[in-house]
Amino acid sequence: MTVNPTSNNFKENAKKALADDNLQAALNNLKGGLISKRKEAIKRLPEFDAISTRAKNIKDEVFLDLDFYLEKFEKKTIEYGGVVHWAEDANDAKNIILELLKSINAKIMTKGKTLISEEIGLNEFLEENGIEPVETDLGEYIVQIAGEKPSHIIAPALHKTKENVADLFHEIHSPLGYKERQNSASALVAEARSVLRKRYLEADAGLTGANFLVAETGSTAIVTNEGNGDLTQSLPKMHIVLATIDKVVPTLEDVSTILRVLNPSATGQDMATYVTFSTGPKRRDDNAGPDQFHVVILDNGRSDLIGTDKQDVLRCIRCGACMNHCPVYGAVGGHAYGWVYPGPIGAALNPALIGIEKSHHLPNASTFCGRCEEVCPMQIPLPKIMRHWRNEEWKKKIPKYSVRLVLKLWLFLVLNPVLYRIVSSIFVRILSFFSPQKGYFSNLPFASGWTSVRDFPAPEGKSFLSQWEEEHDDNK
Amino acid sequence: MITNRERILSKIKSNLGKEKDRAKIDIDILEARLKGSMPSLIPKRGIIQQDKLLEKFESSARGVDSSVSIIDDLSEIPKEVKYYLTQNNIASKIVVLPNKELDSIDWNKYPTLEVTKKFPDEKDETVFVSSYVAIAETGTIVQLSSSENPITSHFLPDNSIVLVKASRIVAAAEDAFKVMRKEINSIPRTITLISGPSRTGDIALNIELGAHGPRKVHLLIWNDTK
Repeated sequence: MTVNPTSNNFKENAKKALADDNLQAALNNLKGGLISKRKEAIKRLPEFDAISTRAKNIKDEVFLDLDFYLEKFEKKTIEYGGVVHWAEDANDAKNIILELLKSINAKIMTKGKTLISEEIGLNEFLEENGIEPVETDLGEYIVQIAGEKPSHIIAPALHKTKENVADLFHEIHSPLGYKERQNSASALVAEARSVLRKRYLEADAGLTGANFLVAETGSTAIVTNEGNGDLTQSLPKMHIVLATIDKVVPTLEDVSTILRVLNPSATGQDMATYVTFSTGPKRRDDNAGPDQFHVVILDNGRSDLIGTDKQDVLRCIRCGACMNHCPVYGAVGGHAYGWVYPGPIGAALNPALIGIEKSHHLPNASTFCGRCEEVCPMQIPLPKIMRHWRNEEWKKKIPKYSVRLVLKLWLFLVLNPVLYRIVSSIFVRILSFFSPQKGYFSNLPFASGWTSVRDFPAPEGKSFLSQWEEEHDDNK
Repeated sequence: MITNRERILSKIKSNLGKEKDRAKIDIDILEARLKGSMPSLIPKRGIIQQDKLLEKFESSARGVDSSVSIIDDLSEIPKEVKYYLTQNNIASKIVVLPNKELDSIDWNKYPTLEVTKKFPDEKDETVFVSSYVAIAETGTIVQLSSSENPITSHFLPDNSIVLVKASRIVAAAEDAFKVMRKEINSIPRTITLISGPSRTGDIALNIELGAHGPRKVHLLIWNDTK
């Protein structure tokens, strides 16, 4: 079972989000932050587009022989003393991880940032089984102690203002001896650092995700800025990596190519602070590192996309640029989407992973403005994939009867141009007859959904088509 | 019993229409790809002339919030370290990794600088290490874990002072991998590319230095190419 989505409540969630002043203040940070930093970083790399095409090609090439690369990765990992586990779905992955933890009698497991662990609901499962998962990425830590879910894939606590975090830390850390409420971001970061230091040292196992699985070397790679992933995977006696099948790339050089577009797109950096390749457990004479190294390779529905027209979505490197630039995400934030992956990538990926029945609002939560595709460093045709899901939704008769009826009527009209002109000219005449002096309607029958939030412009008397025809006649 | 592994791999193969074993020539092509048959696409900023490497590395490193000082001789290290610690209000107490390279430094001239040769733990404030190679394009240092260079040394202390030899500065990450492939037989447990001090943007997207790893990174570049 994957984590239960609440995506079918998108409309209600969005309404609440729009009325939430605190959330709107937090979302405001997006504009000045990630968007402008990305722009600057790309200016510093004139070859960005060419490298983006190369990065796209690397993934496409891997998918053509995905089984080969996965087997290569496995073989190399084993050569260096690691163990590879294969999980078909969320339950498999959770049980494999639980068994590994039980085998060393683990009580505490630190975690680097991994979206897949959110996808499979790992934290809840481990807690039910008496193991404490401790998030160490600051954003993940904030949402964990707040009892919430991440709202952005690279900035999980994006929905919280600094004041929210200050209140939360004061409440949660006071019993641990941190009595004073900190106000500055730097003091809050320092407090979390101090609290989490103890947890790293107490942990029996550490779990990280992987930005890449390198087939050539059997290495898993993480890209971070905080350094939490490195402490998570180096201090405890067991390092578990949780990664999906689409993360494999051929060589270390391919990682470098993709990093050149990932880092600018994600945070506006030329290079993330830490990129670490981990291969096997610590060597015999090493003084640090885990005794055991396990890689759990998860499918969870992704292999179904291989070889289909939706395969493109698997190229995603989780930079978050699509959501940063999405007008819908920018207005409602990540929680409204109701599942792990918000924004345009969620609208394209979630239906494939949880079914269109549970996520049909998401591909509709788009204006198709195309900014997501424009900024995607892996050139994923996000609007095209969303359109595909809208078609699926229609085929499965998921929209309400009234919606389908109106759309069918519309379809009938646009397929019959003569009738369309007659009907539209009647509507235009009626509307312009009742048109108020001010030139717009403040309310309209059957259109309160529109007029409750904005005015509806009154028609000028004639339709575009008839005006064009008149002009056409004049020109004769 | 069919395993998860078999089920996943066979589903991929059948979706790709590759149920049959690959022809030898196809396998040879894929194997060659893993051995580097695809030339890298390195941007202009990562293609740097030998005599410009130091300058570019220094500016890139400053760009990622590392501080830098350049020395001409190893004997200058204790003085530089002492100066850096004093300037930054850091206790005059460092841990130096016990390894061949750093053992040759004579710290005795500065008795006020307390030097302990050991692997650092979470109580040690400042560590002195050396880097394997450094990357000019991004101001990055590369650390390979080993019995003499535990990975935790680069993450536990608050301040990291790193010796970088100018002769070991390469242009791009691809060049660093090239050096690695030539010099070492077996890949270490960790290869870590470090670009500046640890940071986070997780509180209202403000960038704060010193999240979980070092709050400060100081690079001592030894110009051994002179």
